[in-house]
Amino acid sequence: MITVHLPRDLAAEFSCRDTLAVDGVGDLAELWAALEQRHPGLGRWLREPDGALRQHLSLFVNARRVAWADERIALRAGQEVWILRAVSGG
Amino acid sequence: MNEHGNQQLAETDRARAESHVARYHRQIILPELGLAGQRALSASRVLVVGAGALGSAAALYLAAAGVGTIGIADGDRVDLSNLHRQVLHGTRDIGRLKTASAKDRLAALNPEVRVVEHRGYLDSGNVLDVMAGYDVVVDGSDSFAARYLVNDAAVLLAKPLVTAAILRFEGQLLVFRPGEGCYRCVFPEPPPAGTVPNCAEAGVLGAVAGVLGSTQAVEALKLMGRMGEPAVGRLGLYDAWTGRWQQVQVARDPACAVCGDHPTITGPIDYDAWCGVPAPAAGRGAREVSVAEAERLMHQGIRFVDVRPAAEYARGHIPGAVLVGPDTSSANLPGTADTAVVCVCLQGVRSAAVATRLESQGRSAVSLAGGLLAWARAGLPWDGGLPT
Repeated sequence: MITVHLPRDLAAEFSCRDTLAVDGVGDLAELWAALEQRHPGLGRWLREPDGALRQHLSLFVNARRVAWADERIALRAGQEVWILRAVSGG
Repeated sequence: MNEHGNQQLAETDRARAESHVARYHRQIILPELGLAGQRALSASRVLVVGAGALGSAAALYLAAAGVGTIGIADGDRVDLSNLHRQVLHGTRDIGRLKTASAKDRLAALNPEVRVVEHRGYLDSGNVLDVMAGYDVVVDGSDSFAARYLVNDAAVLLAKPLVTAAILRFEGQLLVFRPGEGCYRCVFPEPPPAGTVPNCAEAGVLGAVAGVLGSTQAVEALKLMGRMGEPAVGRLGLYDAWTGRWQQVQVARDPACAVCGDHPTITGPIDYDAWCGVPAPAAGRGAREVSVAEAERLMHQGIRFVDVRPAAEYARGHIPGAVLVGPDTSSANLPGTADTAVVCVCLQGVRSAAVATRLESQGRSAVSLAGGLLAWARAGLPWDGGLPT
């Protein structure tokens, strides 16, 4: 099982929890597909038209930032995926 | 000067030294800081960018700790709506420049500290000159343009940067020393304009700013007092809703535009333009309209299109809004190519992306800011149930 953390306002937009447990995915491509299936529109919202993660989002797998969100990046059970974007309030 | 005068001076100096030690006694007795660390703080200069919520908490603790010089950069004036979180300012300060209000408050707290007002906002033309006079930068600004401006200047001048941001119940904290990465390494681009609300739109729990601003002060004091382990290389994520701090690792990105191996940014750029110029591939640039403006457009006959999946639309939608779904394109929208539309979703995030895509396809499209929830909060009518 992979644990996915989403920005809270994005989760609210898709009426889902901001922490999601996703089973049966082996790489990022499968994770995006699983998110899309579970919450239609979410998987597509996270990516640019060419499939890359949207440029203003930052991806962390197991607490390490992934500079290039290659869809082939492998995911293993127990890992945590953080999808973050900057906030600007001061 | 006669002997009596010399004696008086010596007594004054002694009294001042005793007062100095008494003021900082509780931190001087920390062996990790000690007198040497306190002297380092007294000799340090910190620039606090923004005398808002974060800057308030940070500046108060920096002044209380005895940092020698605190620069405050802000061009804003105190407003009543600031006071639930911007604790540097009081009710009597409403209408005053925040820098002036801050200077008075910090002087009252600790007259030993020199407070320098930088009245006006930092921009590409002045940021390097202002920042050059400081040892550490604490960023509590409230826009993406300012955040990237401050970051880039800190990199260009090789200044340590302690930056934080807040929204609703969440906060983010990053600490950078020269050569160890920067804000752009973590967030290479700002979110598309309009997709991440600010505190005025989305709200913020005032005390969240206290947590983050105080943590910024702690990190800046560690850097200036040469103690502890600065929180470099980690993005701190504070969730006040659950009371959790989480951390993820960050590192210098060799491809970073400003601190990478081959930087493309070698001086301050036009940050307002950079943060707001439409870039269709990144989904940037959709114009947002308020609920009031959207209502006016509706009365003018402008068509509303709902970009959510059918199941969400069925649960509740704006009367008359046409379901077009998330994959809509200019070709399958109602009306002709020159018919404008207002895109709607639950909170205005997806609709902004769709509106931008439609604009890039030549269609005139705007996004309803705050989406259906904002529409409902304004007391306007719904078809179906309440939004979920």
